[in-house]
Amino acid sequence: MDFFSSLKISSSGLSAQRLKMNLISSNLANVNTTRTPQGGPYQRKEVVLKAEPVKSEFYDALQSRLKGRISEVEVADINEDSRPPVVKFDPNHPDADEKGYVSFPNINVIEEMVDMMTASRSYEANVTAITTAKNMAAKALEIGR
Amino acid sequence: MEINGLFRGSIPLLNKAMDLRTTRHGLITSNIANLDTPQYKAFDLMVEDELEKVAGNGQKMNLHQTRSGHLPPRERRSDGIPGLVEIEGHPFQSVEGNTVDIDRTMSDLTENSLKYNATARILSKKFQGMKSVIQGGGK
Repeated sequence: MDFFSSLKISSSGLSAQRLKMNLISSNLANVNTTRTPQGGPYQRKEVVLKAEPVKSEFYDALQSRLKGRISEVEVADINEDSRPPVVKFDPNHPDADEKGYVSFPNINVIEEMVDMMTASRSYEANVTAITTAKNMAAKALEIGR
Repeated sequence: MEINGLFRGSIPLLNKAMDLRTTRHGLITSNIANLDTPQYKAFDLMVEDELEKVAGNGQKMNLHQTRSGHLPPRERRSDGIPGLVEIEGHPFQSVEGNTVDIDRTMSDLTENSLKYNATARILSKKFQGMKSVIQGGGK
């Protein structure tokens, strides 16, 4: 285990949380979107995270007992939420069906805000881990000076 | 005295300590990165236990088995990996089987880094002391 692997793991966490944040922004921005390229209202999106063991042959050979224990985080998939759209009666809306109902995305703003705070905290935790690794490496470089 | 004797004593122990602390940092980092990963199991490394083994030079007390029927000392680590322990998740806290406790993990991170820095400083002071002797003291 070296500091560079730690930094790599932390940065995988940073990018996963950033992607999560982007999807939340997208969900919030499209809270009233009724048209999409695929047709129909916007579907809420969320990340599916997966732990991916760090691959390094040199490291595996040295410490086989830790093999598979140290994992990066990886975005396995972006899941489209399948909850049904919210239907509102608005005959004047251009996207209304023949009965005058419009399908709006089923996005709960409060839920998105909570997810956003969680993502933000997780991001901060990863930043702290990076700062710590940096300080530790700096201390190691001071030996013998 | 042979020159290598200078670097025996506590220096290998300090090296080992820094090595283990770096490994532990990796484990903690991995736990932090997988904060939101479903089914992720958190791990920790008992650095002090590992160091005890190195420092004790095998002088650790062991239970003697004088009869074949005696029970051997119990192995208390998970899946036989010494020092590596799986953190048990709080039953109400875990989200989708994830066992990372962020408060504990962040304090472990700080603790580990402080101890690493302390070890690095001790090692540094040792070398400074040697240098001082080589240069003839306070000249």
